[in-house]
Amino acid sequence: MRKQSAALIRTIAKAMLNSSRGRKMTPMPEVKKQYVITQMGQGYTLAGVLEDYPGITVLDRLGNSTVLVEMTESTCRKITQDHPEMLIEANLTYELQS
Amino acid sequence: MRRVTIRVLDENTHAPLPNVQVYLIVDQATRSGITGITDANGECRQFVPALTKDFDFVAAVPRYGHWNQRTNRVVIDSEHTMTLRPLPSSLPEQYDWGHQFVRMQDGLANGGRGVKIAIIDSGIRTDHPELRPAGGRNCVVHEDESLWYEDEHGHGTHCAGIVAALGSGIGIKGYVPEAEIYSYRVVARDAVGPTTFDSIKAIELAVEDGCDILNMSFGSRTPQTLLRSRTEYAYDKGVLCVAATGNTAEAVMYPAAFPAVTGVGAFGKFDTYPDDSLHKEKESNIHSSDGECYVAAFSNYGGDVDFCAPGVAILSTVPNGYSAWDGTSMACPQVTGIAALALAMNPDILNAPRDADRVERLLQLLKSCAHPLGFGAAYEGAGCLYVEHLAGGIV
Repeated sequence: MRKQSAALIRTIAKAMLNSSRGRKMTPMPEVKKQYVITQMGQGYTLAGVLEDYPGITVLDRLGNSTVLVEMTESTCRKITQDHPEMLIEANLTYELQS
Repeated sequence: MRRVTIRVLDENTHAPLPNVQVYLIVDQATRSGITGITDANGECRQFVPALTKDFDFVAAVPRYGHWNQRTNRVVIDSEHTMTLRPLPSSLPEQYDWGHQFVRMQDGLANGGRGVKIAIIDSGIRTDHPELRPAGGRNCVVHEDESLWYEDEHGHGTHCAGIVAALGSGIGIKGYVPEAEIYSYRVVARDAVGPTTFDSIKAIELAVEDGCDILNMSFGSRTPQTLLRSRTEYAYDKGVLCVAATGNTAEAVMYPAAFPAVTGVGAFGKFDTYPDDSLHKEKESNIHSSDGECYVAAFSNYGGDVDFCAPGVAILSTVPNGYSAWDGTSMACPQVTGIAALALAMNPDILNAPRDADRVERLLQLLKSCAHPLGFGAAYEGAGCLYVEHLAGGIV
């Protein structure tokens, strides 16, 4: 009985190994989230951000210095590192207090 | 599974009540159970596990016109009937208990004429006979800007009524029925509240439009620099920001906790609602010195509470009628309304240059009208604002 079980486990393990061999793992696309970007100072502009970082979708604008965008978390991190003069915050949902 | 039917009727006429939200709660601690809405025959049919007959409580929450009701420890074989009390058809001077409590009087400051108030909320319905908003803007992304008068939720319509209901019929009267009320709609049709972007957009537009007071009955635990900077922008432009402190019985939420914002906590008054209503659940053991009132069990606390105001079982306007709601959301517009009265009664502040000093003068005026109820500063800040102090010229 014990021998049969061991053989079965070996067979399953082999099948699993074969099924994954040679197959490339496709990375999951990073989910885009909504952020609000505000240009805090002079110099590097919002237009520059939208031009220099691919994959940003503008959803709405508020004046010349604030935009609502959709982008990935890694793009957000990169802009924050590269340009501390840009204030980026998540587009949170607040709750009505009733 | 087996089917149970909950029937909801008017207590006096026994007419069936449609569109009532019914909750069948099996375990009160976890609030686990099922919910449904009554149909045109006032019936809500639900399937429950075959052996479930004992419910910790059953509640019925109508959209308008009646008090909600909670019945504890209910055994349901197949049917259960609830009869709801109609809301009062007439109020003394048409004022809700909250307005009466702060000694609101008729004819003050021409009803707030000349003051502009922004209700940053879910919208204000224009088809309610007690409301006459002067205009507004829909700030929800990807929606038509002109749709400021929609209000799927009813929340903004309720807040607007507390501030400025006209008292024209059998209904209720707000603090400043002659003030200009503007709806800055920030809650999308399917959303539970406003987003950061919509909120900052609404604040900027309301300031640009010349509003004097912004009412913000929403909050979050997360402090955001963007929202904080916009409230400071409003403050610097002479605009008073009033916000709800939050309903989670913990530290004050944002924006109420920001320095440029006046945070309002909620209290209730005993015997202002039926004992078998859900409002009863909001009672706490922190009572006022005279024993008449209590801190609302949900009201957030701490050093950022500036004032407290009535916020349990507050009767106001909702789409298609009137309803009694709880929340710091309901306390917030009480302070907004009284601040509007204060501005209208003091043209030297109303017409002062729009800067931070204008807000500070208004706040000093309000603080001088505040009276501690005995809850302690963490729950009430400077206390409850009394209109009679404002009217009495104490300042």
